Amino acid sequence: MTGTARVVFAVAAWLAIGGAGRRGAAQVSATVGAFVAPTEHRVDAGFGLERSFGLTFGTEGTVRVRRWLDADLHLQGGTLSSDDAGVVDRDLAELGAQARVRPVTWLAFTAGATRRTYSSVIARQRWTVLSVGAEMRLLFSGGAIGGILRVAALPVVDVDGLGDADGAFSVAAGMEYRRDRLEAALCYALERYEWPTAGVGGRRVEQLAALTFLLRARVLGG
Amino acid sequence: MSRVALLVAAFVLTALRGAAQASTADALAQAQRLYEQLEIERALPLLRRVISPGWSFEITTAQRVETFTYLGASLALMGQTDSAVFYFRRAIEQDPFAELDPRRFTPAQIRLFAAAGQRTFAVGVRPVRPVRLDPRTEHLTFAIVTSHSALVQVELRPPAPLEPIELFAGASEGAREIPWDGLVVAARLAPPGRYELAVVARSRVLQRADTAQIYFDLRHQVEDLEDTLPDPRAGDLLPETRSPSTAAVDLLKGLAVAGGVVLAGALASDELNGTEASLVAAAAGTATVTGLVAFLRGRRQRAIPANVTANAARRTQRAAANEAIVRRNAQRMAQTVLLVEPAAGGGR
Repeated sequence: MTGTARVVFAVAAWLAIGGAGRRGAAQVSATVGAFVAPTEHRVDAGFGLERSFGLTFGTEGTVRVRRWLDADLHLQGGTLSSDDAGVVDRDLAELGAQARVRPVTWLAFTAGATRRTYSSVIARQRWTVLSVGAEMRLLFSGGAIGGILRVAALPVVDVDGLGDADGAFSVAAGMEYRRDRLEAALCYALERYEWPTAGVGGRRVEQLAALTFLLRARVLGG
Repeated sequence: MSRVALLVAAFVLTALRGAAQASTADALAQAQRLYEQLEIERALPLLRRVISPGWSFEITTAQRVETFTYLGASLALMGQTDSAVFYFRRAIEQDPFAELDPRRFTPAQIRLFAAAGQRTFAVGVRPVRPVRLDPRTEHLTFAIVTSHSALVQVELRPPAPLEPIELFAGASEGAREIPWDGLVVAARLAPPGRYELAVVARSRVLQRADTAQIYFDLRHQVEDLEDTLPDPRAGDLLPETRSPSTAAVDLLKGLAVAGGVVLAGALASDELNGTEASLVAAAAGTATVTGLVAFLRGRRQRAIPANVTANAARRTQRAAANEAIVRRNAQRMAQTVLLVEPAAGGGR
């Protein structure tokens, strides 16, 4: 983990645990959830398109420290495999933290850090990604259903052996359904990365897309 | 100019009135000195002058009673018992509470005074003094008097429309104290307002009757009461039904999310041949279906049950708060203290 990622992770952990604890449980709400995501990874490093696909599983927890501030943490892993000849299967493991500041109910600004590892029989590649973005919620009448639109720039993408990516971003859109303490969500997300000079042909393009089915429950607070 | 004249006139009148009162008081003091020095012959003319129609100075009831009393006492010392009784009767008529101090008057004078009381019939009630009364632990006491044995009825008349209360009915002679607990009919706390205490007495010795009354104002002293919460205004409650346009807005939101999903898929790299279309289709389809279902449901079902429940909870909360306020106010009312002030009119 790079120094920057460590700092972001530490801040998120402080918000989630220390900051919340000082304000007392009555003012804090928390959710925990699990998700499954059909995930597709595509990369072209100058050797042609490599496509792998598989189910990843994960868990996440969110703490609402204040009415306008959330902190969340997620852990995800799975195997992405390919039917294409010459493409090796790879395991994906990811740990991410994010802080969300919500000046109004329908808009939030996000900042997060993700540590991701692709492991194959050939090599292990470690990613560190920092993101800064915005999230818009479209609440349906009644308040039980909401739409999510997310966009983030990824200004820091540090990958073993590749260096920093150029022009990386992530986008996501989906729906959330709430009933009492339970919440379900279905969200499509796409991350795209480019290294103009990293590949054999001088250019490397990589993207990760996932359709996440999430089920979460509120375990603390109202 | 006229203002100055008015001020001068007011000053002169005030000075004259003070001088007049002083003159009566001086005359009485002088007569009293002469009486005590047994110079009865000199005291009598002075006392007669004070009660004569020609006396030009102001004279109060108390001074008049004192004059009659000293006249009666002086005449009693001179052996003129009938005249003494006459003036004693005049004193009793003026003030039924009048009496002779045994330390200053002789037993013979006191006997004559008592005889005058038997031959005169008068009833009196003493004006109330300003008082602060806790009705749970204290009583207001009225003092009445009859010059001799009589059948007496004492009635307290509260402000309309309350019915009068009989505080005493029976035989009485001389002074009597009558307590009142501050309650009116049905054991209710006496409401604020003007009260009249009326005394009707019928002599058991003479064929005569007499009445007396006093007035007093009664106020409540109570800790400030809380106002109950007002009825919720239009903006205080959540809308319990959806507007007709809400369903269409929900549909648009669903389509917007679907559009967002499609746009996200379109941002996939062309160099990587885009993205897995089934993922995009599943997410976009879900958002579209959600929008459609919300639209159809919104058209069919206008009520918002969650808001109805939330509003009912707010109303219940408000009713509970108001009940608590009413309870606290009732406790404060129960601690009410009565303030009694004498009012003009009546007496004797």
